[in-house]
Amino acid sequence: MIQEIDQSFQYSQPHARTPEQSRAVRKKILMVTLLLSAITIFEVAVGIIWSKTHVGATSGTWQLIKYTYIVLTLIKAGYIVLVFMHLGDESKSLRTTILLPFILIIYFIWIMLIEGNDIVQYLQSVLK
Amino acid sequence: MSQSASLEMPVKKLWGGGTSPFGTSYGKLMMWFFLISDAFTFSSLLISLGYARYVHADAWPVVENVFYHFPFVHGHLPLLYVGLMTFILIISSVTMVLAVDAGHTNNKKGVLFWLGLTVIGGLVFLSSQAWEWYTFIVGNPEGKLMQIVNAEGQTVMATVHGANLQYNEYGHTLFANFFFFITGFHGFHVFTGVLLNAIVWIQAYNGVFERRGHYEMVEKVGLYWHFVDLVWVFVFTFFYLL
Repeated sequence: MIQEIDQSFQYSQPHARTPEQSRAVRKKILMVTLLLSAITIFEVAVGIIWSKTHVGATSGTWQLIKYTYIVLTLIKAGYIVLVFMHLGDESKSLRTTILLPFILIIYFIWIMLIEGNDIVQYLQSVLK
Repeated sequence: MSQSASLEMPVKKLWGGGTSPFGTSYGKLMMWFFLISDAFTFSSLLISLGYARYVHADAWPVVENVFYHFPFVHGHLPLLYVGLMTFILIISSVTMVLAVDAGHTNNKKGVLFWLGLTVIGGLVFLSSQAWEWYTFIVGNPEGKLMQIVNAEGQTVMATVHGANLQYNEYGHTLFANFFFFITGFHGFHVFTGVLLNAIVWIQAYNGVFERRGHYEMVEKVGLYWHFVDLVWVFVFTFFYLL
């Protein structure tokens, strides 16, 4: 005889919350919203005030702005993934499983930089 | 959120069935795996963009001199429109979080309200993107005199307006190609997300999840929607800002 098995563990179940807990959740969402908006406004403001045409694409200022942009993007991405997608609340093994493959992306960037350098050198030698 | 209760279980229970892997649900786990593969696709696109920019650095346009239009306003306004689009997507991501949160407490009204706003935000973003594409394709009235290969295969001088896949007035051909492909692929994801959100909204309205006893489907489409926002954050930086 087949037994009726409780399958509820396969789905994330709703849970009752105290008003304090609800308020804490909302406050966290609000804080992250403000942070993401502030970073976006900051990025746009920097892009308008110190625009690439004004400071020059090869200048040190633009290099600094460029890396600031990349760091800010990673901060934004971190907040979206960890708070909005709740990855910060998942188990450590799941977090590792999801984030570890992205080492391959860093490797990909590295080999494409090498490849790009080679192609640029090749094109220069051909044009000479 | 439930802290992984399975981790504290004795090993015998953990491997004896009756628990879900990683202490998360099957559907959410599969959505995460799909999103990883999708993230790899977008990463490849953005890395190829960086590669093309680097190799054709001299022919690559300064992006702020291409996208400086704003609806109903004349003048040179770089970054403002795309900044607004980013903001719209972030806000629709926030309403999605609130919808998921309402689902956690079985609050049907909350789910309908916030998910509805998310659908509207997605539609606003899509129409903004349509306007961006239109402006890009039509181009400036003065255009740019440049060498192109015409239909007969001859190289001629011609005034080029806007952009297509063969040539564009802004710079290297690949610039327009990457613009169309990356923002187009992302826009397709947004379109799919709006569709999924709308379907889940209708199901929630019909009480499907109430009968089921949980709103996990909102969490799953929520993961997808946040991923779409996440991709746009990277596209915004690597296509428009740098």
